[in-house]
Amino acid sequence: MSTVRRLAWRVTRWRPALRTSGRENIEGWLFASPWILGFAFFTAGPMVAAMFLGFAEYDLITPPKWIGSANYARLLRDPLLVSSLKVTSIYAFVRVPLVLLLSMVVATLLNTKLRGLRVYRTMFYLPSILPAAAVSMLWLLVFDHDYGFINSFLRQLGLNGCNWLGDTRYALPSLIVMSLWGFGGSMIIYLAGMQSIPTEYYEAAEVDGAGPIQRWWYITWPLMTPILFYNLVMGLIGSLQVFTEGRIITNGGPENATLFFVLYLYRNAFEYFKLGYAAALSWVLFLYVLILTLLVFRSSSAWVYYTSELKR
Amino acid sequence: MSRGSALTPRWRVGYTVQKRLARALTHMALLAMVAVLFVPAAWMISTSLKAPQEVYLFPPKWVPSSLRWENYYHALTIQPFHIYLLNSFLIAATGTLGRVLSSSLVAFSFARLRWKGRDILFLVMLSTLMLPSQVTLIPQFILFKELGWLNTFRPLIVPMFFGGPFFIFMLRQFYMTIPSELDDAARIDGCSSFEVYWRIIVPQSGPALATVAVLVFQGRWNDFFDPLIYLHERMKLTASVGLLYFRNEFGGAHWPQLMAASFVCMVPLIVLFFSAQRYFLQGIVFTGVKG
Amino acid sequence: MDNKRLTRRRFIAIGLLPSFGALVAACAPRVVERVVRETVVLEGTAQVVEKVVTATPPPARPAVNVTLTISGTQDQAKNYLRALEIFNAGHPGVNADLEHVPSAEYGATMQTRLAAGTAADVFQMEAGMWINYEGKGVALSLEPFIASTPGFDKADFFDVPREFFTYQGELYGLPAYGGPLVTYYNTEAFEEVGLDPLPTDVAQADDWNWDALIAAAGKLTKREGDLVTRWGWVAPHEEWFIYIYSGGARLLNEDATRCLLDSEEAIAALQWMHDAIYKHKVAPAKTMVTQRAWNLFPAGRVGVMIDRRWVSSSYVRQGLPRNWRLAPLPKGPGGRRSTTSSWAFSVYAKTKSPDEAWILASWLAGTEGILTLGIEGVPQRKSITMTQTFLADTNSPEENRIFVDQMADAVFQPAKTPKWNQLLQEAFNPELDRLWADKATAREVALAMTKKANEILAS
Repeated sequence: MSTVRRLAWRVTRWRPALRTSGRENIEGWLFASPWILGFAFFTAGPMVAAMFLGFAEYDLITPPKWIGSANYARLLRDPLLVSSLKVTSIYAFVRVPLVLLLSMVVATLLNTKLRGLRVYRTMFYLPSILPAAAVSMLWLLVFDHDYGFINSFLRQLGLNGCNWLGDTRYALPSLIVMSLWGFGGSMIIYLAGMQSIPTEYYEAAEVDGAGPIQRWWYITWPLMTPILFYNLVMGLIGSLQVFTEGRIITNGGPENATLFFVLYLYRNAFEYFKLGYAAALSWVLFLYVLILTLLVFRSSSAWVYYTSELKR
Repeated sequence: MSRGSALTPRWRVGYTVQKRLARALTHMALLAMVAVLFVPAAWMISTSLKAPQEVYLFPPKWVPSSLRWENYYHALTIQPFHIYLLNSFLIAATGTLGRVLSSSLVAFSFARLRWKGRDILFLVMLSTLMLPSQVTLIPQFILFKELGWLNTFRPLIVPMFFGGPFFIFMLRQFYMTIPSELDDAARIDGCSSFEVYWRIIVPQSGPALATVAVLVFQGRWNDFFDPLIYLHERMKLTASVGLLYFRNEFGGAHWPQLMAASFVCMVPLIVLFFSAQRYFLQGIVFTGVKG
Repeated sequence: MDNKRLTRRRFIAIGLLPSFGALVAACAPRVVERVVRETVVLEGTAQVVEKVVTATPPPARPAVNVTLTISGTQDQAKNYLRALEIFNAGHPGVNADLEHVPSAEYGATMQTRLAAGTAADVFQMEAGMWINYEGKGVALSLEPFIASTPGFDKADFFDVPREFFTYQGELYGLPAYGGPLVTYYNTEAFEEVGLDPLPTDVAQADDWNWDALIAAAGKLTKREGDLVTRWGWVAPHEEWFIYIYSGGARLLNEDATRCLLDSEEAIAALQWMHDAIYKHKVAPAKTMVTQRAWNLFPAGRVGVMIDRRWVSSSYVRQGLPRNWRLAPLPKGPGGRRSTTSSWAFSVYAKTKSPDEAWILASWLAGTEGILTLGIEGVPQRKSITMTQTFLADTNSPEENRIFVDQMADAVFQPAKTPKWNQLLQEAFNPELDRLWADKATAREVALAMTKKANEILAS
C-alpha cells in the first residue's frame, strides 16, 4: 500500500499529510462518504468483475471459463489493437488541444459586456445538446460527397470537395471537425471559471494601467489554469473513449480508418460475443489513460496556479 | 471585462472609439462562428417541417415547400411522448439535485480538508472514469437486478446521490481557486467545517454549481442507454429513448418526425441554459464575505 | 446498524455475482409436461389429484401474465398493442404484455438481459443473436409444444428460415418475418430516358440481367458538369453478397468453416461490381455508411436500387408518391439468387409459464397473429404469402409475388457461425473498401478476404 501511496504522491506532487488532526480526518471521510459509499456499492463490484472477465472466456451466456492469461497473450499479436489505439490517440491528441483553445477563445469573447450575450452563449452551447438520435443524419448531410453542405459550399468557391467520410485520409479528420461543434460543454465550464474571478482584480489592474491583453494574461490566464487543467484531463479521458461517432457515422471504416479502440472493444463484446477479450482490451485502455493522466498531473505543478494550495 | 464593469463609472469614461471598434469586431467574429455552428440545428428545424420526400432533395431545400406543422403533432402523439417527457424530467431533476448536492460535499473534502487516504482515493476516483463502461455494463446490470431495481427509476436516480467523479473533480478545481485565507479566517472565528462549506465555499461557487447543474441535467436528459436497459415497461420510458423509436432496424427513419421530436426534446435544455445564466452572472462579491 | 450489516453482506454477494451470474443464466431446456395438483370433487369429498398437463393450460385459472419483447418503431408497437388486445380477448387464461425496444439498441439490450438471466417470456430472436445462442440453452425447444398442438405444420414455414432456427433437429424459434431482395426502380426516371418498364414475372425476366442493369443505369445516370445529380444504380456496396451468389460463387462452405471467395466466379463478380463504378461509371464510389439508397431513392436521386420489402411498406406508410415499381433481381451468370434473413419468436428458457408463452408465440407467428400485426417484409409462412391479404398489401399482387419467387432459392444470411460479424467487420468490409476505392484489384481483394476469413474461422 505504501508504495502505491508514494507513487501517487510522486506523480501528483502531493506530499503526505504530516500532521492530520483526528477531527479533520473524520470530517474528511464524512464529507467524502457519499462518493466512497457509492464507489463501494455501485462501482467497485462491476470493476472487480471486469478484472476477472479479462482472464476468462465469456460469450455472454455460458458461464465464464477461466483461461488464465490467454486473452492477454492474444493482445500482443492483435494488429487491430495497435491500429485502433493509434486512431484513437490521433483523435484525442488533435481534438483535445483544439477544443481547449477554441472554448477558451470563445469563452473569453463571451465574458465581455456585449449586447445579446445570453443569446450568443445559448447559440454556442446549442450544438452540444443535439440529441444523439438526430445527429448522425445531420452530419452525413454536412459531409456528404456529392450533396453535402461543405462540398456544395466549396463548389460555389470553384473548389472540388473531397469524399470526406469515404476516404481513408479524411475520415478521421472529418470526425474530429465534427466533434469540435460540441465544444460548448467545455466552454461553459471556462465561462463559469471566468465569472468566478473577483472583479476587484481587474479593477486594480485597470488602475495600474493594464490593457485588455495584459489583464487577460496576468489575471484571467493564471486563475483559469485549474479549469484548463480539468478540461485537459477530462478531455483526454473522454476522447480516448470515443465510440458513438465511429459506430453510427462511419462504422469504423473506410479500411478501419475510424476504428476507435472502444468501438473495437464493443464489437468484441457485443458483436463477436467475446466479452473476456473485450475486458482484457479495456484494461489496456485503462492503463494507457491512467499513465497519460498521471503525466498531466505530474506536469501540473509547473503550470497550474491555485490561489489556495492544497493543504498538506 | 466582467460583470462588475457596469458598476464602475471609470469604465464608462473609458468608452472610446477603439473600444467600440473592438466590440464590433467581437460581434462579427461571434456571428460568423454562430452561423457555422448553427447549420446542423437549422437543418434539423427545417427538416422537421418537411414532407418525407423533400428531405434528400438536391440541391438541398432550406425552406420546405409547405410548412408541415402536423409533423410535430404526429411525432408527439404516435407514442405517449408527454409521459416520456415527464419521466425524463423526473429522472433528470432528481438526478441533478442529488449529483450537485453530493458532488459539492465530496469536492469540498478533496479540496479543503486533509485526511488520511485523500490523495489515493482521489486517484481511485479518477480511475473509475478510465475503464470503458462497455465492460462493466453486464456486471452492473446484474447488480441492479439483484437489488430488485430493474424496471424502476432507482438505477437511474439513486447512484446520482453518491457523487459523480466528473463533477467532483470539476468542483474541486473551482474550490481551489477560492483563496484559503477565507476559510482560515472563518475557522479562527470558530466555524466548523460544515459552516466553512456552507457559508464560504457554496456562496462563492454560484457559477460553478450552476454549470454543474446544467451539465448534469443535460447529461441525464439526453442519456438513452441507461433508461433503455433498465426500464422495460412502455409507460416508464424517457424522451431520449422515445427518439430512438423513429429509426427502423435498417437505419432508415421518418426523418421529419424524428427531427420534430428531437427539437421538442431540446427545448427544455435551451430554456434551462438560458435561464441558468442568471446564476453565471451572479459572480463573486468579494467584499460581501466578512472574514 | 443491523440494516447496515445486511447491506454489506449483500454487497459482497453482489460483488461475487457477476462472475457467477452467467452460471445461473445457463439453464437446461424445460420439459413441457408439468405435474399439476388439482383439487377435484370425487363423490362428495375434495381430493388432491396429481395429473400431467401438456400445452393447454387448465381453464378457469386466473390469467397468467406473459411478457413479449420486440424491437421496432412506434408504428410497429402500435400494431403489436392492437394484436395483443385481440389475443388477450381470445385467450382468457393468458394476459400478454408488451415490452418494446428501439431497433438500433435491441442487440445489446437483449444480450445484457439474457446474460443477467432476465428476459421476457417470449422475445424476438434475431438471426444475428441466434448465431451465438444456438445450443446454449437460451430458448426452449419448441418440439414438445408443436407435438401437442394439433394441426401445427412445420413445413408451412419457408425451408431456409426454418432450417436456420433448427438445432439438432429441433426448432427453437417460429420464423415470423424476413425476406429476399428485389429491384426497385424509379418509373419517372425510366420514362424520362425512354426505358421500358421492367418485367414483374420472374419466369419472363431473362432479359433483365447484369448487362441490362449496367445499360439501364448508364442511361439513368444524370450529370451536371462534374456533379452527378442522379445515379443510375446505387451501389453494389450494400448487398454485395447477392452478386457473389448470382455470379455462381459462394461465400462460405456448407458448415461455415471455410471461405470460398477465392473462386474465379467470385473474382469475376467482384470485378463486375468494380466495373460498374470505375469502368461504366453508373454507381457512386462509396455511399455513406448510413445514408443508404432507400433514403435517396424517394427524392429521385437514384434510378435503380436493390432492397427488401420493408422499404416499400415504409414508403407507403410515409405517404410518399408512388413513382416506383418492383422487379426481380437482375440475373447473373449463376442465376438470380438473393440472400434472405428473418427473425423468429422464441420462448425464453427461464420463463415461469412456458405453456402460456407458447400459446402467445404460436399465435403471433400464426396466420391470425401475422395478419393482425400487419405485413412487414415477407411473412415466413408459405400459406400466408398465398393469401389475398398479403398479395394486396402495399404493392400489386404481381409485385408481391416476386418476393415469394425470390425466396425459393435464397441463401440465408447470416451464415450460422458466431464468427459471422467478425468476418464482416474484419475480413470483408475493410478489404472491400479497398475495392470500392479502386486501391486494389478484384483478385487481390478476393484473395485477401479469403485469407483473413479463413484465419478467423480457424481461430
